Amino acid sequence: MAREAYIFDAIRTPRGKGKKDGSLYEVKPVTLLSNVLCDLQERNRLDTSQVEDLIIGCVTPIGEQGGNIAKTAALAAGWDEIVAAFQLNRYCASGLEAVNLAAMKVRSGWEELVVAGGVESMSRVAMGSDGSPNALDPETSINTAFIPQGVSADLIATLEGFSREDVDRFALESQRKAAAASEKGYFAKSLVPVRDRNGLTILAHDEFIRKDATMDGMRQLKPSFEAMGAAGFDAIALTKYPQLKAINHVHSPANSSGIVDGAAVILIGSEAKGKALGLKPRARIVAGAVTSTEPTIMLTGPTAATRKVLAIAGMSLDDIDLFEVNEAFAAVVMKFQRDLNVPDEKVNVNGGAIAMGHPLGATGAVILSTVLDELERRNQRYGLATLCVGGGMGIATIIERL
Amino acid sequence: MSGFRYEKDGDKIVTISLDLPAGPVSSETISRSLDEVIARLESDDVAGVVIASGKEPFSSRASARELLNFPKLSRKDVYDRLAALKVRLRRLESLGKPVVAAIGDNALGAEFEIFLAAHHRVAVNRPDLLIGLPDVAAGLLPSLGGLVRLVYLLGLEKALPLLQDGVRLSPEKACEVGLINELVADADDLLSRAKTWIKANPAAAQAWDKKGYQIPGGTPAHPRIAQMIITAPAILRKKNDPTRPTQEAILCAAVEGAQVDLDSALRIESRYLVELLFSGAKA
Ligand SMILES: CC(C)(COP(=O)(O)OP(=O)(O)OC[C@H]1O[C@@H](n2cnc3c(N)ncnc32)[C@H](O)[C@@H]1OP(=O)(O)O)[C@@H](O)C(=O)NCCC(=O)NCCS
Repeated sequence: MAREAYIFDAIRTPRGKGKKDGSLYEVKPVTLLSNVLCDLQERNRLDTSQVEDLIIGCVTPIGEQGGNIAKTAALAAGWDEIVAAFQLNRYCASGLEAVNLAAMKVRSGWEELVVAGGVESMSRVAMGSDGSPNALDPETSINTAFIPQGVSADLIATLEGFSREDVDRFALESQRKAAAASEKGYFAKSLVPVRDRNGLTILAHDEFIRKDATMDGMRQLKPSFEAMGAAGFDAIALTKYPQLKAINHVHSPANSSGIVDGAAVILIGSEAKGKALGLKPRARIVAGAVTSTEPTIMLTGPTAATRKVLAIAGMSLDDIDLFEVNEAFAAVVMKFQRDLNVPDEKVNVNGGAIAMGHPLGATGAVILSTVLDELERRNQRYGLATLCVGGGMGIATIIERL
Repeated sequence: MSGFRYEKDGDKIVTISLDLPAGPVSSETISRSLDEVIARLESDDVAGVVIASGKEPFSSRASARELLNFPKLSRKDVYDRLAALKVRLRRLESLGKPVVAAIGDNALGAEFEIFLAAHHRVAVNRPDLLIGLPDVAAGLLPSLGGLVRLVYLLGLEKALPLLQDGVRLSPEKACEVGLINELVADADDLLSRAKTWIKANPAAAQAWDKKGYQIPGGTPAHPRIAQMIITAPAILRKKNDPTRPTQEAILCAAVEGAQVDLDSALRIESRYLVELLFSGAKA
């Protein structure tokens, strides 16, 4: 029988507003991550000498997140010196890529116990501050028809005919679902408060949620990417999509993913290792997939990645009970649902990154823990997490609750 | 009853000085007194504020530890009290009116920290007076924002050695290193000099509250500061002074505070201090 990779535990910090007035701004990224590693260790009475590798997604790995934040945090957490660790960057897919890679390691038999996750302090290390030739090298930018992701999201909305009203309505639902889930304690299982060096709580809940969001309030907001579009990025987009006359800029701060700080980690291992350490599997990682699509529209990868992962698993869409589709922008999830005909009742049932924020490198692990918690709560079986990714990529993972 | 005297002159300049009632002095007494006097300043029509030395420096009435932890409190309580005190000093320094410290007596520890919230510091040039932040000797770091304000005022390179050595200097030396801005020879001139400064600087504010303020020498991201930070732990280890754990905490709190904004830095300062206070990492 094929070896399987199991999830023994999945935890995350709450997401703090990613600005100077956000609660987690005062917390260094290395501390954000090492604290959550300590929590994982404590919760599972984990002998860390049994962990073979720690894989941490981080999209802006410079300065305070630079070097190898994974190994640094493992040492800061006092984990056994035998634990190897590295940071990876597959843009917004990083946290889920870490999980998929951990599962591959375990399923290959080369490793038995791996921790995967991600960290991003967007308040301290700004998105894009690492520089990248896709935007900053003119030759590359020109040859690859680079446009910023917000304009890509508006391009999707224009092609699909999603109006401002449509995306705002989607965003309001995300807020409503997130507020309800947070209030009812649906996140309590995987949420570990961020504490200071004295054990005093710094943040215990997802603070980006706007309980009192209204359609009226959202309608007032200016589109965030209109100016960039007008400066010329619309023209680049229209060269690739000549069937359009103009880009309809519908995405605003209210219907785009929030800029936040956070970290998440997932304990993944083989059946034998779980038995030896007395760890009870919560889920089986059924399959994972990455792929890539047209880079200028950039954010349509979830559909392709979902088709691919289902094919790998030999499953059909109907087999999936719950989907977590990262709400990078409202149009991304709306297009995914339209492409695959997935009903609202199955998608982001507890809200998503529009309401709670998208801590880039951590999000993949965050939404996987969210779908696992919800499968357990509902007594359902299969969950699928997917994200759109820079460069046109898409990633998806299927888990089976046990 | 208020712990501060409050005297307003014909130019609408208010002089406040600490005049605590008899009995034990704690962070709570000071906090309550500050709250009252600042609320009064905020609602009064004032041209400026002089904070003068009280009739007796409170460092002579309570040790730093007693001040912070009287009666025996939990970590959370100490932290919350510090937070309240720091908010008060933030209110004072952002009153929108010039605030000048008039130092005519010893000003050590918490007392000097209050003076650091002033926009300008004048002291009497008496060689027997001591000014500074000696907390390290008690196994502590400054508690009322003194560590953070010293870093924001002087930069990491200059502030760190002062904090780690538990600086106690005569007014003249304190002026040389930048803890004091101005000296007067005669105690009788102190108030008038303070008031002259207020009249000449009606729009005074803290440098760090002005837009675009940069910590002298730069933040920890600056290559020269980064170089200093890389070797700092090794230097402390080599020195291996009895106060090393405290000096390490000072180093961490100062560097971390310089990476964020002032309000976050003040919280970080409190967190390290509370840890020291309860760990018993004594001198
Ligand atoms: C869209 C984006 C640029 C907005 O950034 P921002 O302008 O800094 O956003 P803010 O959170 O400050 O919100 C701006 C304003 O909208 C308001 N606002 C946000 N959501 C709101 C809502 N639901 N209802 C009412 N007002 C709202 C805010 O209060 C704020 O108002 P203020 O300026 O008066 O304070 C940013 O969130 C973004 O880039 N998101 C996408 C991140 C990303 O690309 N991730 C990778 C995915 S591929």
